[in-house]
Amino acid sequence: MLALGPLSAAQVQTEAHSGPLAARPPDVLRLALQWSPQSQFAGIYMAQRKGLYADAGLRVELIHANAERSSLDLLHGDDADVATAFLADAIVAAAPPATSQAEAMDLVQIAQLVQHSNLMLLAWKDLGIQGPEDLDGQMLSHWQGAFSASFDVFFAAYDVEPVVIPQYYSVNLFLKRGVAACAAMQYNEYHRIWQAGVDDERLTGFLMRDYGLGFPEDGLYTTSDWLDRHGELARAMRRATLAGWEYARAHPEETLDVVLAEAAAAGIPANRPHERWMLEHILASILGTGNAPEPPGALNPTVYTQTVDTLVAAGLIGLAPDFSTFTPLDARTQ
Amino acid sequence: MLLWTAGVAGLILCAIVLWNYFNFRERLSAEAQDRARFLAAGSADQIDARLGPLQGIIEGMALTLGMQALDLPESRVRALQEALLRANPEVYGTAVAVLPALRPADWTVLSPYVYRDGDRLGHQDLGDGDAGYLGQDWFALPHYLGRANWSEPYIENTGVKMVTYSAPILIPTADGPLFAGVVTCDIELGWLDSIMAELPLGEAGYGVLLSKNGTYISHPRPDIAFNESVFSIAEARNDAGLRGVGQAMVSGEPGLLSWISWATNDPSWLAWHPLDTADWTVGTLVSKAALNKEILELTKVEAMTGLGGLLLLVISVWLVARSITRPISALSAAAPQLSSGNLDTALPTPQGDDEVAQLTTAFGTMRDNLKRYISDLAETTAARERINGELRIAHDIQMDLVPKTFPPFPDRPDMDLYAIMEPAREVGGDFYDFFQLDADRLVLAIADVSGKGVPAALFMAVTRSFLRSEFKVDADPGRVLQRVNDELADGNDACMFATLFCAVIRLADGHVDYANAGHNPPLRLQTDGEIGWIDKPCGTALGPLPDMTYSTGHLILQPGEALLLYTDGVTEAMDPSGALYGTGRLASQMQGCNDLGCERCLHALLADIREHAADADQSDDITMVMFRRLASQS
Repeated sequence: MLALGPLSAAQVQTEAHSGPLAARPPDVLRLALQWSPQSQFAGIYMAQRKGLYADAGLRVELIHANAERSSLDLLHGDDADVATAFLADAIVAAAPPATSQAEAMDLVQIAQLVQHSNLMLLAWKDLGIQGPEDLDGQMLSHWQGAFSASFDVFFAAYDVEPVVIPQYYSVNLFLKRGVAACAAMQYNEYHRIWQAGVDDERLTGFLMRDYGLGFPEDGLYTTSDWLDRHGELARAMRRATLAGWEYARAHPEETLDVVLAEAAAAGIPANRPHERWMLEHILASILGTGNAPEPPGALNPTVYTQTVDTLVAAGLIGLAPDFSTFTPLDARTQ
Repeated sequence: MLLWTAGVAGLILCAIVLWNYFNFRERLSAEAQDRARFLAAGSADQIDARLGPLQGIIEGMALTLGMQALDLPESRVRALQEALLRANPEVYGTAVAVLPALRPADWTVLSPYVYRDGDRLGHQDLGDGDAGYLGQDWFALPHYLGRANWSEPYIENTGVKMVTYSAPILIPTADGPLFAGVVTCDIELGWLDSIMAELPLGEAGYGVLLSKNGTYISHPRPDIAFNESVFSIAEARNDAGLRGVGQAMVSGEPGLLSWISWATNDPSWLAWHPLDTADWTVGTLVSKAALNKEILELTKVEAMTGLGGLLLLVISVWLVARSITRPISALSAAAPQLSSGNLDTALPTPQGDDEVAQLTTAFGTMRDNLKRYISDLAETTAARERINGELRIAHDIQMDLVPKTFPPFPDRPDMDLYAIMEPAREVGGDFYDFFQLDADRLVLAIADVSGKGVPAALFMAVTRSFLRSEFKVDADPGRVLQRVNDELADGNDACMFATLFCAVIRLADGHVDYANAGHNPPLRLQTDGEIGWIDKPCGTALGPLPDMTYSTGHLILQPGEALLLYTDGVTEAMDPSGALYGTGRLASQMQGCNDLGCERCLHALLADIREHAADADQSDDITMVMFRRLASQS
């Protein structure tokens, strides 16, 4: 088949339309993950493997989304009960702008896992980029959608107008120097580029959270309808998932073994140092370093408001749901 | 010698083995580096040779579509794609993907894709309405780079390794080329692993293929390819050196360095060479340890061969040495026995014709000659012993011929007579004699035969017999000598001769008749000590010529006077320097012993002669007769 990136079209079809989805037992909780297996989901794998979900009375089935069909698409299509998603993507999906053709999803958050932004821009130093102002007029690539809001604010803050082209699934265009800068996740692309032999001193990095930008990332979402019917399951899911991350933090090597086994089973190229890098960074994002604004799993209302404001300003959303509607579990416990 | 030979040969062998070891190591090391470099470049060429033609075909297709400004019916595009697949079995699929905005109006699809589906060809629209491929590398990279591009290799979920080459379709416009889409081909890379696996890189050597990002496309360990990059391995091993090497390998420049393989932990030579088509790098590793093992094996074989040779040499030298020393040892064992006189000692049998055999033969000849000589010597000695025995008898007989009883006439107080005869050999040619013709007359004679030994002794015996018999005929000394001469001269073929002095002494009055046939003049010792020489008359020696006449001389010997008859052995006795005893010394010696009896006087004279001769051999018979007339008591 023609290359379609990390996952082929054939694989997408297999996972989306056949196999476990077709023969779903009624009491199984289907959890859709945003992407193919990697340490980004390590805590969830460990909760599953170490029986934390089972202990919480959950029979969880994991589904991996892909480029063709996102985890929110799966949730929306009732092919999943719970999905992981970036906060900004979830807000955009829940409150599309009036100009958009998209239908607003009935989305509620079960947990906010990744508490801070890992989004960054990486630029070639030898193309003259030392600081944000050097990006002016340069050709760069970044992901579209909710991510672009952070970058737009960043560019505006430094009054630069780069030539932006959409970035998709790889950073090869950047590595082949087709663009002067590209978007990267600190826990993923940043390290992949380093693993392509590019030393740090050749690059200038702009980590969005260093500039007060960027949004909290991965969270657990479901529909309010499902939450109404399975409130206890949702709470159990949040607790067990966080316990899974705790377990991953306590047993990193075992966790990496599991992640690599998941990747191998899915036919995804992976190597341990990269998955370790990702695990360390994602763990710090989820369980914090002690000075996180909220306890693990909870979304800070102020951060939520800032995110909504930024997305509104970027014209990516219309009227966003209020905090308590969006995070009913936190609202109810508070 | 054997030890020396083995030691020196062993040292030379060690030196050769060592020299070869270092030489081998240097040469094999250089050869290994060349091999690594050559194979890296060679396999890069091999891969290029398979990818290059496809690259040309895809670029040609893209160029054609661009020049046609995509003005080609969809059916033609599909026909072109199918023809491409049929002509190039390595191509799995080929696509033409365009920007949605530039899609030709008569195309029903956005991206016609033809691929192999078993034996037949399948068709698909990759766009399928949403143009999701715009973000794929195979589309985005040529799009934004503006040039053809090899994708990072990827692995299908079927396990098949693939790579996609995509060339941009550029439509020429007044504002420059306009990107319209791409032409791609998907190539199966199943053959890559076999190319790498078949590289003759020796034991523990292997080849790898790296993508531009350092990801292993081919690696002998199946879990490495596509999962790991040289940099992820470096990170896992915390090996900054490996990261540096990885950066050099993906730099696009060929290289070579001494390296410890992370996969085998072997010190190795690592060479790498970039491809001309895809921006990949072939790396080749040749193990130094395996190389050293090979060198050690070679050296070991050489050392074993050398040791075998040395052993053969030692055995050969031992055998040769033994073949030389065994006869020599046998000879040297036999030599002391031979030298101690055991001539029957066995000698080794000479073998061959070498020096040792010749020496052995010479030894044998010498022994045989010795045996013969000794046998001859024994015979000669026996003969001489016999002759000596006979001579001793002859001596005894000769001595018996002369009167040896002294005093000869004990009842005669009127004379004192003593004689000494000392032959120079067992038998001599001298003789003396005395006998009474009657109660008053006493014959005294002394003679010296020419020559010495047995002939002289025989001649002497004959002469004495004639003398005695002739005195019985007629007592005149002159006539006696004449007759004796005639007898001797008769049949004297040997021409022998004798000198002879004889005298007839009448004891009553001291009257002496004498005749001399060439003999030394006797000495007359008077009572007053005066010495006189009776030198006249004197005739020729007896024997050579007949018919000689001899005069008879006369003298009166007073009582107390003495006569000394002697042979030339006395006066011609020589000292070691050859000086003669002489008549002078004889006379003075005799003067000195005038008062002594004849016996003591002659012994004194003999002692004096011996003193003179000292160590010199006695050259002639010494014979002396002394007669003193004593006053008759009556």
